[in-house]
Amino acid sequence: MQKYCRLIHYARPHWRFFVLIFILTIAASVLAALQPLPLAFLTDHVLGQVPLSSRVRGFFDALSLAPTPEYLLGVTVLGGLVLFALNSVFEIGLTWAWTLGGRRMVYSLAEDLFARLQRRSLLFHRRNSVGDTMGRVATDSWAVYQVMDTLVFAPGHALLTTVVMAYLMAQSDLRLMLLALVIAPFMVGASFLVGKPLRAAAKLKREIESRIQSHIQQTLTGIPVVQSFVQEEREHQRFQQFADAAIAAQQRSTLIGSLNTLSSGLVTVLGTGCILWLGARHVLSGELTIGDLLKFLFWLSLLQTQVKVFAETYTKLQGFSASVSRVMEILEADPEVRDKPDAIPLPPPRGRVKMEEVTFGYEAGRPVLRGISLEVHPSQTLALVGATGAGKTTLVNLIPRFFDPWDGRVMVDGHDVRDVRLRTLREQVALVLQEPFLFPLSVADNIAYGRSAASRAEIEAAARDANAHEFITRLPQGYDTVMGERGATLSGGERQRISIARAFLKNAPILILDEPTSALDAQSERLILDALERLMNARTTFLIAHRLSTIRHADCIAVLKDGQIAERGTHDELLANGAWYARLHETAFAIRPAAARPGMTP
Amino acid sequence: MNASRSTSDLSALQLCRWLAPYAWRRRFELAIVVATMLVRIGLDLLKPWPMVFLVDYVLQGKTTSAILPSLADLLPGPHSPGNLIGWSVGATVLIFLFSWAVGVANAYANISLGQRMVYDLAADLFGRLQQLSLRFHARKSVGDNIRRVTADCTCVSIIVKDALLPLASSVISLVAMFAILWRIDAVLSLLAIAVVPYMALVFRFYARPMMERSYQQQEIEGGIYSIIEQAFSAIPAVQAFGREEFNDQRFHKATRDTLAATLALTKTQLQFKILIGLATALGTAAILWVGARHALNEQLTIGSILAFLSYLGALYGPLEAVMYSTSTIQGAAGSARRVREVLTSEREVTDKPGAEPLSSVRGHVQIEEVTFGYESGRPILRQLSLEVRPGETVAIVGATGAGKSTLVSLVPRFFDPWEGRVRVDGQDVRDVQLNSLRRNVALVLQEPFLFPVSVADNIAYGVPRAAMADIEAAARAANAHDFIVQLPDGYQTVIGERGATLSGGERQRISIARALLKNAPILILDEPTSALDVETEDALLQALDRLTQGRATFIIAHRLSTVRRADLIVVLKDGRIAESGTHDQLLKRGELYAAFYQLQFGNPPANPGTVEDRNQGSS
Repeated sequence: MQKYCRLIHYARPHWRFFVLIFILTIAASVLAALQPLPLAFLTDHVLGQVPLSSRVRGFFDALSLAPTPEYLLGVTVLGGLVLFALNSVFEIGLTWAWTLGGRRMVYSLAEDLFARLQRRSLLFHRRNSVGDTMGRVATDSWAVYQVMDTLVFAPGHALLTTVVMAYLMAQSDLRLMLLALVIAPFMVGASFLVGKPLRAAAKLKREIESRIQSHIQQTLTGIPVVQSFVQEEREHQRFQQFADAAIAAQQRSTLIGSLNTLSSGLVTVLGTGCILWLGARHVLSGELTIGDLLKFLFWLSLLQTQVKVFAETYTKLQGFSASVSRVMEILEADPEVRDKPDAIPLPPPRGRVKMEEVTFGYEAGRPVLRGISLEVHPSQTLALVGATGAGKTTLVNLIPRFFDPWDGRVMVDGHDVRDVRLRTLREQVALVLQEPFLFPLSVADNIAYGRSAASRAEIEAAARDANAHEFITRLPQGYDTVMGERGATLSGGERQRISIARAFLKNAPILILDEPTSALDAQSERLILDALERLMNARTTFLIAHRLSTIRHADCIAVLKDGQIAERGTHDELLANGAWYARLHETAFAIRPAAARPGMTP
Repeated sequence: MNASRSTSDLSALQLCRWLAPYAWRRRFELAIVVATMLVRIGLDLLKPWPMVFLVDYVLQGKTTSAILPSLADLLPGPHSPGNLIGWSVGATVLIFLFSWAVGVANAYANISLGQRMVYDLAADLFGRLQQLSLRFHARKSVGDNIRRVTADCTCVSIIVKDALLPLASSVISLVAMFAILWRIDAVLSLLAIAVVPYMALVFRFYARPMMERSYQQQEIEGGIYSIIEQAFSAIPAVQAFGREEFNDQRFHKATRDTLAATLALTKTQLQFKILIGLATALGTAAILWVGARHALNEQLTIGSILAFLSYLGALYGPLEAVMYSTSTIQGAAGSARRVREVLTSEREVTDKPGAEPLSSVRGHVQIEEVTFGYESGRPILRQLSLEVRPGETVAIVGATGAGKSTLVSLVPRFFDPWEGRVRVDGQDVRDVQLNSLRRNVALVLQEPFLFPVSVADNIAYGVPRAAMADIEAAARAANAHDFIVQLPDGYQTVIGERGATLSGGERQRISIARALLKNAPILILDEPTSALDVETEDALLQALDRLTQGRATFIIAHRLSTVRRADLIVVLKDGRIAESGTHDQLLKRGELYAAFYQLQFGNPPANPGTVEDRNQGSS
């Protein structure tokens, strides 16, 4: 219950729409109950011999018209058309209000979800697929609309209509009205029994749909592999399996719903029979006119509709409760990495980075880093080497606080990074990653990604520094060329150079280079290294690279092994050590005896 | 490529013709839907008559035909009003009950049919998406395509369930009811159906504008999906550069745009709705007017009028529903357009009719005078020729963007060249079956692209029924076995999305194992070691040596240590082969290749192990 209340909170800013909807709903309810009056009037007073009530007589006298059947007929038909006109007006109003107000409400929620999800740590995003996240923002956000409609307004409308009808019914025949009201609750049928099974079925369906989305996303993203390994057929079959599961889940849902509808239908029809029987007897005995009987029949069917709304409320609730849960999951969770309440902005750092006894891992019980301690002075370069999987990337990810360590702390200029405002910390750290992560924006916008106010001259300068300017100017629209999704139409090296230009432009005092040149040919690497040298000059740099040519000039080289620093020192010191680093060096530069031909193992 | 223009004028007829096969595929469910629908119509026809009997004969004692008294005589029990009331009520209850039950069955069958058709279409669309060329995928966003498969495919269900079936039901009802009503009062019955042509007119007038607006609205709404997908696919960059707020704003703008488009659509839809509603209101008013006058002249009874109104309700109701769901249907038509866009997309690379499977595969690859580029007018490869014999290794080097990856993509026919041709064992690759060609080419790319299935399943990706022993052998040969057994579930460990919980080197080794297991005679290695540290690379090179034995191999690499063992090295520049030869030959030439070598290692060393590259200033 609480979670629905929290959700309704999103409707509050749009209260004006809901007031309008409320008023229109009342009006529509009243109008709905008045529907049968023209026909009843016709039956009794025009075609039948029932005398007119004094009020109606007075109305005709005021207009100085004789209440002939023709005029009465005219009044009746006119009345019907007026009811229609009013109904149309209310309908327009309600549709407009629900579309405008309702969607705004949904989008508020979606925006909130989007914002929150963006700020969740990389840990969260490793565990939750993009498809799943997309489902939450795009689809599950509609839960708030459904809640307002199903929990608030639909039952409200139904209740109002019932009340108005009950009043009108009582005016005609009290006993009949009481009978109708007694029957009414039972028209709900077995709704309350189907709650749990429906909820389970809806949740299952939602999960399967999410899995389908993920499957599509992964297959289309990895399409080169799918095509080259000729697995289209198999992936297609897997899709079919998902589809079959989804259909089965839907069938279950529908079946439960149908049985529910059937049970309520039974009661409803029997109830109608009772009313009809009793009503007809009352007509024969003169207590009721035929017109009144018609009215009662109409109202009874209207009552059935209202009761159905009440019953369906519960059912519908089960349907979208899964969505509501998924939304609340995000709304109620705090981002793993966030500003402390009294976080201070990081004063412009000189760039001293220190790690004290840092322990961290992605899964509980499997630490990747164990009690690492290191210190890098401003403008120094620390190179990290180690076997793949040793934890180098993990280590540097702690500096911009992508994760918080289990134990120990990371400090920048003596400030624990957890004590400073996240935004200010990240502004001072520039990253060049293994995967460039470019966006479908123009080349210029990609380079200026971290500094949107940069001038074109600055952008070009950064591009020159990254040796990207030449190939950019050769593109169809130069710097304004929009890149394909994930920069797909450029080569790996070109993408990486843009990513490097982006880091140049950011101009941050702390620099993290995570294998920046691994995708480049020697020539590009040469020129980048030139520029990086310039850049690293006045900045604290963490460098992860495999090319020994890249790291040998670092101020300090740290060798990571099994989550700990095995060796530390300058290139020469480590060579002298004769341990892991020295061996690495040998391997890289050793020249194999005579170019090995296929078939000869070195 | 704007295929939407070619399918933009999707007439109703075309739409139905396109959908018909999907409905036919599920003809069993369709038959049930139609059957229940017909029964329900029949019951609707019966519904008012007990009431007519009650109101006219029992309560008023009026009859207009002799049927009613004789009916009363037929019924058992005394000929008293009380008894007859009982029978009338009983009949009404029974008919309503049946009608209700059949209605529920019909709804169930409807949903069942709808769901199955949707997933049939989705599966077809997904299958087609997989077949489209890499160029298509580079241009279209994955998020947009996901939406096509998941959301847009519901169009087929909506059109059949909410348009065609109710329409058919209405038409049948109309004919049947008209026949009955005509016998009661001809003038009134004509009035009753006069509404229908007017509705049709309004529909024609509004159909196109609603469809256009609906399509636009959906396109704009697709933008929301795209933004979400982009943001979360690249979330590390977003967070690193603090662009969360920027994305928030973009998202906000997208929702605002969607809202505006939705309102424009709603406006048109409301106009339409009101006009249709006016039709039924005027129709009913006319019936009441004329009917009452006839009743005053003793031509008609109240019961008959009730029968008229009941039939009208049963008729107008579904008709109105179809009209109202026209907006949804327009939306579905918009979706249908988006789905067809992809389904009718030309598969750039397809089997020629009558293509045979690749006959022999010793692995002799000849690339002859090929010219190709991703965008017309910008060729990346210019009249390039290259030959690799079985068992040979050809290394391709060159500056980034020189066209190396593009060149090797032609071998498994990811693209077809503009000019020239590629031959495998003498056969032009365009003449053989695509699948047979690709089965004989193994790829190891820069990006491993692993899937969220177990390690074993990833390695066996190309050979689903591989034995565990073979999988392990491949893993060992790729030097991956050791780290795999250390994983929580060993070979059965499921890899996180995109192999996220493994390091780059580990992922690459699994990708190599995958290629090993495939055991293809032609091998393409596109920078297989660029993401690895030297120690791992060394281990991998050993694995690669095993892999390349006896296979025709194309290898693209920057690490000259990887390249120097090749039988032939070609240097690509500006889309052409600038130099080719063995490592020693090229070094001796002292041109491009020699320059590369210097950049990486410094001057060709006199003594192994004492490389001096300080001169080059590499750091």
